[in-house]
Amino acid sequence: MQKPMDDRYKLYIDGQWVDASTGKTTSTYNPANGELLATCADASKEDVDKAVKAAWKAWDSWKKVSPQDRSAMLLKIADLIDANAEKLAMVETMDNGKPIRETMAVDVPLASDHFRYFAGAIRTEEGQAVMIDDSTMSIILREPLGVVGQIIPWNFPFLMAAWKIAPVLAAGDCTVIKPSSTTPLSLLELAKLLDQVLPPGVVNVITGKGSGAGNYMLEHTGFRKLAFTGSTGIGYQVAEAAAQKLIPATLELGGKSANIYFPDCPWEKAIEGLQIGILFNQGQVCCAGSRVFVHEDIYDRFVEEAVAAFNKVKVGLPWEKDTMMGTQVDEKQLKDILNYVEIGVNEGATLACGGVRVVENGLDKGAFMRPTLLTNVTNNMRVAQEEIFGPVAVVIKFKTEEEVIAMANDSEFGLGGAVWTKDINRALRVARGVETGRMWVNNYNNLPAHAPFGGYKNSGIGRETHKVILEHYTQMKNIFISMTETKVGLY
Amino acid sequence: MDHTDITAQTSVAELLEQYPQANEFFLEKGFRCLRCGEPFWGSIEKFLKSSRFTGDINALLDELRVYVVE
Repeated sequence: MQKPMDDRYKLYIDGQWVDASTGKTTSTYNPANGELLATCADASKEDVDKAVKAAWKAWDSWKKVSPQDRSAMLLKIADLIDANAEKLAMVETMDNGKPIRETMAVDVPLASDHFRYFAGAIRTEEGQAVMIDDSTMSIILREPLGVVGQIIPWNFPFLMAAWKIAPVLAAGDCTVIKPSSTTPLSLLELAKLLDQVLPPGVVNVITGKGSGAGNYMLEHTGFRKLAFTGSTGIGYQVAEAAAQKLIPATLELGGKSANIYFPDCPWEKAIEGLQIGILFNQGQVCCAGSRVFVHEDIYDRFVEEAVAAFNKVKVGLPWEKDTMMGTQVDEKQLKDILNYVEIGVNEGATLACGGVRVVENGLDKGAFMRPTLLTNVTNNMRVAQEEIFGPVAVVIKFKTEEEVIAMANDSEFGLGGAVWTKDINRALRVARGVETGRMWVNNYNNLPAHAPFGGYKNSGIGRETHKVILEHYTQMKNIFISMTETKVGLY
Repeated sequence: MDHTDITAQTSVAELLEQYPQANEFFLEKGFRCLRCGEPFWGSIEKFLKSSRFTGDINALLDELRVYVVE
């Protein structure tokens, strides 16, 4: 199959493609078959510093660009993404392992729409003015922060790039952004498109390992803000790095979201919602519906049909059009997931289906596994409390609304969740009772722009996918005007 | 890196690259050094401190060195 990506990528700094100062590189592989896809530059401390300096230099003029002109650029970027959709989708599929039907229908179109949403949002942003008294006026303006540092994960590399870059451009900031070393390619391809639209230095792309280039970014004193999407573990490190510099950090972290089913759920849609909740993106979703709470009246039937539905899912090579579930992102991650399945069984859960890797039909060189259900789980088990980040759902029985809300909230996380019922009052009671930033009702894993997304508790700080994030990427200026020329009389 | 070279200052990423089974070692102890496929960014000592480990780090490292070569 012809590779849509280049063999080699450099760092993108100040509108130029440059080698790492040390000449070091990292390699990225196709997780479906182990083939080398490309080598990328492994950024040094000096490279990060160069990128930050380029961003500050660009900001001198970028901060003065009008909202109208920034909006036009955001729309142009969206157009370029749409014009290159097939290539970008295939790059993402090969680098990450997710099915082409998802990258074509979700990752790429949602990304371009993100730029369109923010293009619209900034044209309606306005400050405020108020007369404090008859001769005193207070004006409130929002001003850009300057240069921000952004680190994005491997599960949705292209979409997370859009979630991070679009609001930065909209707000008038400049960025140094680092993809995961596991999946750097789609952001690098996006950088080629950004290069056609943006002045040099507004967006700079640093590649390299988290423990290397990522750490250099956390240590750098040139950022006015950090933004991170990834695990809660690293999130703590980012938050600490930001706190030590007295700069804000927005964090979108892990989850163990509750997918809650009542007896009056729209049945067929609900079973599909279970699959969407935990099998979409191979379960590698921060807000995956990984704890499935099923009312005792429907538990047996639900589990039987869920097992049947899971067993029908086609696990296959991600670039094949009928593949429903691709490969996990790498062998390390697959081992971690299968370890957790074993932990669950040892804790007393029943392995209802899956829990095995798949090696037939040409899948022996990848990190494929079957959709997995662990049933007879109790909420205090490790598999119910710890994030597994794979296509593994644990099923927990409940009796009452109060009980399931309490169990849903008995988690260190608070990112997403869902309630399935046709009773609107119950839907709203449960949605309001569960302590998460997002509750879906009769759907799951819908993440468009225009609805804010983010976590409570250890799932993070701040909200994305909505214009409210512009508050995180700007700061408030108050201009306080006295309109009199007479003395106050104090001195 | 030989297993005898593993110290408190060894980076977790480097440790897992060389000895991926170290992840299972820490999991058995109740600590996660690998989350969502990303290793902790920092040394073993920093990782244990952030995981609120209060035991004897030298004893733990001795155990780890034996574990990774078994």
